[in-house]
Amino acid sequence: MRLSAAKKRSRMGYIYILPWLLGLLIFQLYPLIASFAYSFTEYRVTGSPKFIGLSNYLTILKNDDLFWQSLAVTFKYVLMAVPLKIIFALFVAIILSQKLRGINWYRTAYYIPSIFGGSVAVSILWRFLFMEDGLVNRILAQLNIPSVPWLSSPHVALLTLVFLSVWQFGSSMVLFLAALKQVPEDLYEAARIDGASRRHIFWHITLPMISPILSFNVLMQMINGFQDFTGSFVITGGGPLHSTYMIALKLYNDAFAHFKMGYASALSWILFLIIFLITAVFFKFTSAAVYYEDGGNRK
Amino acid sequence: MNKRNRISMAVSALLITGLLSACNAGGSNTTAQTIAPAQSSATEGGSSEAATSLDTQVSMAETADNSTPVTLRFMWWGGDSRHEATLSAIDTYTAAHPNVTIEAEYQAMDGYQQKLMTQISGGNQADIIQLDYVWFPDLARQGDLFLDLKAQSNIDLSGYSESFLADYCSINGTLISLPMGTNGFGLIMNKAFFEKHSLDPSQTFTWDSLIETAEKVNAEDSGDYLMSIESSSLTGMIFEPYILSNYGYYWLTDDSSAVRLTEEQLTETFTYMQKLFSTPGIQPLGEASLFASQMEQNPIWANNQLGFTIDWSGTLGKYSSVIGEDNLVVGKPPVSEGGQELIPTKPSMVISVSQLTSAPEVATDFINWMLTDNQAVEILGTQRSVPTNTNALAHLQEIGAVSEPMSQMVQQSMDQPAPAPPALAANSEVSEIVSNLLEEVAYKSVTPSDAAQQFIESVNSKIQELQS
Amino acid sequence: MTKPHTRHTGRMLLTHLFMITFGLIMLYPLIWMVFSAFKPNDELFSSIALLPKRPVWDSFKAGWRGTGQFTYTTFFKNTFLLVLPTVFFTVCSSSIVAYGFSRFDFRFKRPLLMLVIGTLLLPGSVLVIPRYLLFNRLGWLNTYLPFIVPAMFACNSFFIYMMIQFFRGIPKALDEAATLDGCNTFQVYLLVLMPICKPALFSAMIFQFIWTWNDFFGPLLYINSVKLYPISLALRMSLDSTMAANWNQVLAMSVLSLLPGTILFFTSQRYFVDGVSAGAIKG
Repeated sequence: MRLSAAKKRSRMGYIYILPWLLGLLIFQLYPLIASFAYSFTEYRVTGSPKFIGLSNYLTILKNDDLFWQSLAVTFKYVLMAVPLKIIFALFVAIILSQKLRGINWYRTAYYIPSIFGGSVAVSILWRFLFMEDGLVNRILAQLNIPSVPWLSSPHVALLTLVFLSVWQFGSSMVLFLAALKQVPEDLYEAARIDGASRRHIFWHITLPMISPILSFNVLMQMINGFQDFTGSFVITGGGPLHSTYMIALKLYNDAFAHFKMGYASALSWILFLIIFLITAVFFKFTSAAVYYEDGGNRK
Repeated sequence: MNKRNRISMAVSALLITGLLSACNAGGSNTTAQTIAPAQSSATEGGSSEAATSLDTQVSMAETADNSTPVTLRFMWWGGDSRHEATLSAIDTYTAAHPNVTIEAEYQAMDGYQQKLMTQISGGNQADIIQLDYVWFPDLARQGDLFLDLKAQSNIDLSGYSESFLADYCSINGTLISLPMGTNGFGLIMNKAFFEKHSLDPSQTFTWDSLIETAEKVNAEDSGDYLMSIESSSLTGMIFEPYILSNYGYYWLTDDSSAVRLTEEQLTETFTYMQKLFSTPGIQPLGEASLFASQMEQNPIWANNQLGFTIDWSGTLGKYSSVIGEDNLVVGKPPVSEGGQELIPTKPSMVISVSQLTSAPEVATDFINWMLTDNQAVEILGTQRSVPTNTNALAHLQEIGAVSEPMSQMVQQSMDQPAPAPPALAANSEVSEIVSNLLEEVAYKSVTPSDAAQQFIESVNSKIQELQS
Repeated sequence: MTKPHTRHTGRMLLTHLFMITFGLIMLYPLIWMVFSAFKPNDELFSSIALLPKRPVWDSFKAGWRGTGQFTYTTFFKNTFLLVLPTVFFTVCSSSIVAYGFSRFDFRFKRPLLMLVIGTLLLPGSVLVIPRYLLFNRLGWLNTYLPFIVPAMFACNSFFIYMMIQFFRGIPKALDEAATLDGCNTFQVYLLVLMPICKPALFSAMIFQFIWTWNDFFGPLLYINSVKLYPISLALRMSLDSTMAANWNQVLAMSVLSLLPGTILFFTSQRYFVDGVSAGAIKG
C-alpha cells in the first residue's frame, strides 16, 4: 500500500519533469552531442567536419598562448566581479526591502541598468565615462585624485569592465528581494524580543534563511561570469593587449570570426570542464551551509 | 541502461517535433514564402523559352519569364541611407517586373558575416548576397557556392577592368561576384584643425614629416592630435601602407606562401611604429582604441582636435556626419622619402548570386541592372562608394552625384594603385596574429627585433597550417 | 517592519540620501540617453554635457519611421509576439518542472538534476550552428518558434534551478497539509505553491522578458525578413560601422525600447517584494 503510493508519486515526478526531459531530447541533446563531436574535428562551418582526433585539445593546451591568457583574465574577472556584485546586490536588496517612502521608484531606478543589457548606448556612454578625459576622471580631478586610464591601460581595463558588470546587479538584487520576503516575519520578531542586534539578526536569521537563493546567485553569477563577454565585446574588444580578452570572447572569435568551429567546440568543452569542477567544489562546500526549509535534498 | 525508456522517449520526441513543424507549415506565411521560389523554379525550367519582353523601362536584355512569379531574397549590410536607396532600387526593378518579388534582408555589418556563414552551413542563404571579398577564402572551402558570372548571358562585363575582376571578385579563376563600388584610400582630414595649425591639407606627409608635424601640433596645443589610429586598424592603416611605400610590395609573398619581408625590414618597420606611437601628437593607442571602427565617434574628432585618420572612401559619410561636409578634406596616405607611392584600393563590397537560387536568370538580370542601368545607378548613388563599373561611374559624375572628396580619394587610388594584397593577408587568423603583434609593438611590450622574429615565425607557421 | 520611527528619523534621512545618490548613478545612463536623443551627431560625440545646444526635435518621430519599409510599430509588435509567449511558457514550464524536481523522489533524480545544471555550463557560441541546423530542419527559421517552443519545454535551466531553490524555501508541511485536505499533486502545485511562489514567478517573468527582449544574436540568426525583426535587430539595423547613422533616432528608439521592461518591473515589483505576506507560509 505505502510502497505503491510512493511508486505512484515517483511516476508523478516523472510526469512533472517530462516537458524538460522532452526539451532536452529535442532541442538540447543534439546541439550538445554535435558540439562534442565537432571538438574532434576540423570544422570550418562551410565545408564538412574532418576528424582530427584530439589535436584541437592538444593545440589549445600546448600551443595557444591566448587560451592561457584569456583563462587568466577570466579567472581574475570572475574573482572580482562575482563577490562585488553579490555583496552589492544583497546590500541594496536589504535596503530596498524596507518600507521607505517612494521605495517603488528606488527599486525601479536600481533595476534600470539591468534592463539596458548590451544596449547600443552602453558602449558610447561607457567610453564617455571612463576615457582619459571622461566624466569619472573629471570628478576625480575635483577631489584631487589623479586621473586613471580606466579603459586604455592594460592594468585597469578589466577592473572597469568589472564595474560594468556590477552596475548590472539587478537580477541578483531581485532574487534577493524575493528571498528576503520569504523570511517569516515572526523569526525577526522573536529575535528582537530576545534583544538580538541587527548584525546578529543578519548573520543568524537573514543569511541562513536566504541561503538557497544566495547560493543560487553566487553559482549563477559564477557560471555567467565565465561565459560573459558583453563588456569586452562591446567596449574594449578584448584589449588593450588582451587584458580584457575573456575566454568566452576568444571562444566567440574562434567560432564566429575565424569560423574554426571544431576548435571552438574543443575550447568550450574545456571551459565546460573548468566550470563543472568549480561548480562541483562549490556544491561540496556549500551543501552543508545552505539551509533548506524542505529538509534538504534527501538524495 | 534503460534502453527501452530512452527509445520511447526518442520516439515521442520525434512525434512532438513532427506535430510542431506541421502546425508551423500550415500556420505561418513566412514558410509559404520561402517555398514559393522553389515552386516557381519548377515551372520556370520549362517555360523560360517563352519569354515575352513586355517591359520597356529596363533596357537590359530580358531573358527571364515575365509571367511566372519569382521571389528572390537579397541580403545586404549597410546603414539607413544605403537601406533606403537599395529598397528604392528594388521597388523600381519590381515595378518593371511585376512577376518578381525581391525580399530585402538588410542589417548593419555587425553579425552579418556570422549570419551568412551560419545560413550557408544550413543551405539557407539568400539568392543575392552582398559580400566582402576578404571572406572569399572562407567561402571557397565550401565548393561552388555562387554562380559563375562569366557564364551568365545576362551579365554585361564591359564596364569592369579585367584585372580588378580577377584580383578581387574571383575564387580560383571563377568570377563569382561583381564589384558594387570601388574604395579609395587615404587621409580623412579635419579642415578646421589644419587651418588652426596653419597646415596645408593638400600636402602629402612622409612618414618622417608625420612625426615632426605631430610634435609641432601637440606643442601648439596639448589637447590636439594630428592623427588617431586604433589598434585593430594598425595593419591596414599603418603597417601595410608603410611597407608598400618603402618596399613596393606586401609583407606576404604574392602566392601567400611565406612572409616576404626580411627580419631587418620588419625590425625597421616596427622601430618606426614604436617611434610613431610614442610621439606626443599621435593619440595614445589605448585611448584611440576605444573607437575601434568608430573613429568618427572620437570626441577629439567632433571637437576639431584631431587632424586626420586613415580610412577607406566608403566611410566618408560617417566622418562628415560628425564634423560637417564642408569641414572634411581628403588626401594621400603618407609616403616614404623617395619611395614609390602605391595607394591601396579594393571593392567596397561585391555582389554574388547563390548557386542554390531558383531563378538564376532573374537574379543575374537584377544585379546587372543594379550595377549598369542609369536609373539604378542614380538611385544607388555612392552608397557603396563610387561604382566600379566605368559606365555607371561616368554617368554619376556627369550628373554631379559624386562628392568631391570621394571622387578625389578614389582617383588617387586608381592613379597609383597598389597591387592586390595576397589572398591570405586578409585571412582572419593570419590578420589576428599580425594585429596582435603590431599592438604589442605599438605598446612597446616587445622589442622591434623580437617582434620581427616572432612575426616571421608565427605567420609562416599559421600559413603552413592553413595551406595544408 | 515596525520600527519606532522617532529613533530612526536621522537614519532614514541618511538612507534616502544614500539611495538618491546611488540612484542617480544608476539612472545616469538613462538620463543621458534621453537628452542625447535630442542631439545632432556632432554634439552627441563631442561632449558628455546633457543639454543639447541645437536640439533635434524630430528624432522620436523620424526614428519611429525607420528606413521607411517598416516602422517601429511593426518592430514593437514583433517583439511582443516573440517575447510574450516565450515569457509565458518559460514561467509555466519551468515552475512545473521545478515542482517535479523539488517535491518528488524518483529514480535518476540526482543525475537528472545534475543535467539541469550541466546544460548551463556549456558556453552558447558552439551550440549556435547545431541549433541553427536543427531549427532549419524543423522548418522554423524566420519564425519565432525557435524561441517559443523551447520555452514550452523549459529549455532554459536557469529558471528551473531558480524555481527549485525557491520551492526548497517552502516547508513541505504545507504540501502535506493540502494533500490531507484532499488536494491532488497538481492542485498542490497550482493552489498552494504557486501563490506562495509569486515572488519567484514574477522574477522569472521579468528576467525572461528582459533577456528575450534584448537578445540580439538569436533573432539575428533565426529571423531573415525585416518585417519580422524584433526591436533588438531593428535598433542595430542602421548602426553600420562604415556608414553614418542618425544616432539621435537610434537613441530615441533605444529609450522607447527600455520602456516596456521598466513598466513591467515597476508594476510587478509589488508581487515579488510585497507578494504574499510571509505569515501565509506558516499556514
